[in-house]
Parts: sequence; C-alpha cells; structure tokens
Amino acid sequence: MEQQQAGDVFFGLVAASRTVVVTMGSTLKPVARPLVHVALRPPLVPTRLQPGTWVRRAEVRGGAYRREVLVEVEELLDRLLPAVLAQLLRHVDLTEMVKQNVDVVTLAEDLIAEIDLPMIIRESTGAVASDAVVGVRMQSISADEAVGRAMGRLRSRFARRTSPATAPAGAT
Amino acid sequence: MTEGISPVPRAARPYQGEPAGLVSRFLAATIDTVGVAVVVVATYAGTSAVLYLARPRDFQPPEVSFLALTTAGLVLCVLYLTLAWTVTGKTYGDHVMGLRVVAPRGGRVRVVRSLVRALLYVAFPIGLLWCVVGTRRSLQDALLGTAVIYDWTAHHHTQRTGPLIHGG
Repeated sequence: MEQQQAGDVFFGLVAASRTVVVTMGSTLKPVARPLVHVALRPPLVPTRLQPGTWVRRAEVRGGAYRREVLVEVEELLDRLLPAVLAQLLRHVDLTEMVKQNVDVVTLAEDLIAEIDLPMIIRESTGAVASDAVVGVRMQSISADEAVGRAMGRLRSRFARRTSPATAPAGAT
Repeated sequence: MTEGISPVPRAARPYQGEPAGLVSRFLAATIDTVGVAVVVVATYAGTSAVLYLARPRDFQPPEVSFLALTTAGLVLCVLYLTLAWTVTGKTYGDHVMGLRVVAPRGGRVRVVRSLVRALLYVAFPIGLLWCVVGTRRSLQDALLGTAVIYDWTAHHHTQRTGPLIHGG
C-alpha cells in the first residue's frame, strides 16, 4: 500500500513538472523564436557558415542514418521474431489463453453479423441444391464445351474444303 | 462485404456469366417441357377425380381431344415461361441446370420481351439449335437480343464477374 502511495506521489510530481515546463514553453516561445532564428541565421555571415546550415546538414544525414538503421532493425526482427515466437508458443497453450481472455462468442456473433451469414446460406441453398445437381451442371458445361469444340473443328474443315474452290475464282 | 464470398463452387466460378451452350439449354428445356406435361396430365386427372367424387355412379372420364390437350399445354407453357423469365430470369429447368435468361444489357428480361420469346420458343423450338453456331445464341435470342448465361446464384445480380454476352 505504501509502495502504491509512493508511486502516486512520484507521478504527481512528474505531472506538476510537466505543467511547469509546458507553461514556461508557451510563455517563452514568442520571445525565444526570434532569438533562435538570429542564432541559427546570423546576419552578414555566409550561408554555408551559418549554424542553421550545419543543423540542416545534420538533419539530412541523420534522416539517412535513421532509415538505414530501420532497415537493419527490420531485417533483424524478421530473423529473430519467428524463432522467439516459436519458442514462446512451445511453452504457452495459446488456445487456452484465448479461451480465458477473449469473448469468443461475442466475437463470433460480430463476425457473423459482418459477413451476413444468413444471406450466404440463402444463396447457397437456393443456388446449389446438392452434390448431384452440381455434378449434372458441371457435366453439362463440359458437354457444352465439347459441342463447341466439335463445331469449331467442323467449321474449320468446311472452310478448308471450300477455300480451294474459291481461290482460283478469286485469282482470275 | 459478402461479395468476396461466393456460394458457387470454385470449379464453376470461371463459367459464371458466360453464355450457356446447347446441352445445358436443351436439358433445361426438356425439364420444363416434362414439367408442363405433368401439370397438364395432373390437371386432367384432378378434374376426373373431382367429377368422380361428385357423381361416382354415372362417372364418365371427361373427353378431351388431343388437339385441345396440346393447345392447353402450349398455352400453359407460354404463360409459365413468360412469368419465370420476367420474375426471376429462371424457369425450373434453368434453376436445375444453373442458367439464367438475361436482357441485352445483362439485366432482367421485361414482360413483353419474355412473352415474345416464349411464343417464339413454343412455335419454333428447333431455333434452339442455332446456339451451336458461334455465339451460343438461339434464333430467338438473336432476334430479341437476349442471352442465356451460366448463373448458379439464386438471385439476379446486375454486375457480374465474367464476360456477359458475346456479340449478337
């Protein structure tokens, strides 16, 4: 209990300090801004020698470095995380944890409400009655394709037969 | 949200929206014809049963000429086809075979076009054979600008994944 009180006192002090800093910052901001500007861009000093230019260079360099570091960290995490997670999952019963901590029923209800399951069931039962019907439909589609192919062959054969007769007429 | 989940089996998905061929359409037409014939015969049997129950002693089966029966069947066929194509784009035969009749722009066929199509099919059913030529359209389709596509879904969708109709 005493530990909790000490913690509360600490956080109270931190909050008070933060308020003081924020108040000072907002009060001093109008005064500090021109001063900072003069310090960074002093008059009569060439641009390349101004502190503002150095700060800008440092910012660009820092940005590039940050991006490089991020890429390296991501690569490292890609290698490390799967191995760490695999080890963790070996020691933890995830299903039991989910059962204890997640309201699975509510989640399932929300999910069903979102995907409109009744509509899918209506569509399914109305459209596809049984495996037998599906089989008949698929076979009839195959038969349609076969008839189409046969007709295509017949047409091309007929076209080949008629073309020699028409060619001389066209040539003359 | 649900557009990503299709009730159609994976193997059949590439064909959805494609023009249907002769075999599928012939089978669908056969199912419809048998259905109409069964309804006509059942109507005759039902009428006979009612007459028998009304006067069992001097019951005589109603005499209906073959011409009258055929005419009744054809009229019923026209009404049935018109209604089915207008309301759902599918007759029972189309439903079994996974087909749908669509208008020139892929939408639902209007009642007048459906009626004319039904009359043409009943008067000249052999026009169906024209769909083995090139664009998979029957003579009736070529005249009216309609098409029959593979569509295994129960409801009509205005936007389809596959190419709808090729030429005319």
